[in-house]
Amino acid sequence: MSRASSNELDDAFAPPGEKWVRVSPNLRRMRRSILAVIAVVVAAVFVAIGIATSIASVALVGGVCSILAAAVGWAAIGRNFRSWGYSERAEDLLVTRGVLFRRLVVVPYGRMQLVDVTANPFERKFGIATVRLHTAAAGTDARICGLSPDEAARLRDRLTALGEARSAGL
Amino acid sequence: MSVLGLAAVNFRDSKEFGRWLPVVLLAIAVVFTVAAYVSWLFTSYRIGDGDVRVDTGVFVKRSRRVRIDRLQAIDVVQPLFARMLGLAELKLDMAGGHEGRVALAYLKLDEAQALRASLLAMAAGLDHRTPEAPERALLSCRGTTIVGGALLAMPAILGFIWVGFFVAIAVITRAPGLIAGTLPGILSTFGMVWKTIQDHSGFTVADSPDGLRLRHGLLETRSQTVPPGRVQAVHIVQPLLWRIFGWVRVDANIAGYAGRRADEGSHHNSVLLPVGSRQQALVVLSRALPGVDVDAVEMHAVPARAKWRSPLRWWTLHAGSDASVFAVRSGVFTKTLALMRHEKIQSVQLAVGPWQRLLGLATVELHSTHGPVKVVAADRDIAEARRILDVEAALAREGRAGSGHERWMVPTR
Repeated sequence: MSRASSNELDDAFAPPGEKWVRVSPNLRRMRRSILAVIAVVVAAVFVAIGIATSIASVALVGGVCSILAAAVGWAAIGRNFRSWGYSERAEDLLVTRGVLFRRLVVVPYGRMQLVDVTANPFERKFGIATVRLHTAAAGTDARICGLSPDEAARLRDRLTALGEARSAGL
Repeated sequence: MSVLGLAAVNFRDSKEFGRWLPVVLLAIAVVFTVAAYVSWLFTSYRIGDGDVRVDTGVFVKRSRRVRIDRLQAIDVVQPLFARMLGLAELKLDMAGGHEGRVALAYLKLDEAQALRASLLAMAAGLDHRTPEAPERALLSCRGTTIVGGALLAMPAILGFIWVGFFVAIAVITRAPGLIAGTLPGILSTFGMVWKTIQDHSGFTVADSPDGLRLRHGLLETRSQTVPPGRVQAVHIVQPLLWRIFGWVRVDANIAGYAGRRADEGSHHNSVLLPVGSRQQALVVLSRALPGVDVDAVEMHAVPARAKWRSPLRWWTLHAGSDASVFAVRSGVFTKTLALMRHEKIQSVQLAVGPWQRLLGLATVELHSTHGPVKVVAADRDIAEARRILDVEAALAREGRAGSGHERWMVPTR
């Protein structure tokens, strides 16, 4: 087995230009906040059970495990956040994401059927939005999470304008 | 009607339920007939300048406008009963999945054909009074080949195995009653095989300036027209046992045939050649992908270390491209060769999973519109995969710039 050097992997996911445009750190903040709330609730449940049944080990093991899991999740969110990136070229948009399953999608502007901007309540609270690109292919999975609303609106307008200008028949 | 009346007479002396049943059945039949008639009465179409307007609905009015230059394919379908009455249904396929299909049911057969001809003429950029383009027969499939192909394909083989299994058990255990267990297998297999034979019987392919004309069907006949440049991607498939006779099947992704519900059969109207020789497949391909020499595309194997990820099929994985198409070959038992023109690419994806990362491998997928054809080059060397991604993105751009507009009979600028 030949092991790919991390260099080779990074080369394969290298940005087309200088570097990837990164998404807003608010995405990381949002995910970590949600994680922290869940971890605290789970830990509290374990502690409550431990107190109710007066078995100290339940409270201790449960609490420690949920905090450890939260720590792992905290780091994973950080790595996942750093993996997001996009780059607007003259003719197409490149989107990359994922740590364990890395992917890079190239979507030509002329192929875009519609551009969605969505923000769920959490995203709105943290001032971010998701842009999703749709082509005539169902397999196209090009979305960019964690854009600031201004950037999302700018991207949407630019993409639709470019898409219209370069629109090609199927 | 008279049968129901007779039934009513026979039931006169039986129980209350029996007396009312035929009346209820009759009422249902009448309601359905009236509903069908009213729905037909309220369906109208009008050909405008560059579009067709179809109005339907009695209570909820629906008016759909079809842009003729976005037309992906036109089918004339005759279910058995419509055929007896000399009627036909005209189906207009637009890009956009299930909602993108407009059906006009029912028209007289010659009216449906005339309408198809004028729609195609308009789509081509000609006057709608232009007579139907002449066609040249390319090939027709022999009935024996269709039946043989259906019997040597997966559903039938599974059926044979099922039956053989039960018979063997019955013989071994000397319990002949077990043979009854073969019944569901026989029935479901027969259903699937029959459906294949019904769909593909009398399959003929003809070439015309309006595109490929496909005609097929035993009881329900279907005549499809796929205008030039509407084929998104193509694959040639060869199930294991078809190798005996050198048969292959050719399927295509055509945007209008997307998003079919399962009950409409698995992509059966994406078939360009149900079963035929390799020569026939090449003839069909030369029309579906004009100017492409399938055998001339230089194919490259995956690195040997791919055996750690795809131990069974790594040696079958090949991919390559030439000036006009990207090609992927794969499959140990069922061999597949998928082809896609660069300019038909909707998007390109490079993906690396954890196991692939350890081995330095990556998968490149060219996304096409919905259909049976998937163009996935699995387990390429990671650097090569990125090169493919960049090259395909660039070729797709050039191809789109070079591809003409959609009205194929109007000379390009």
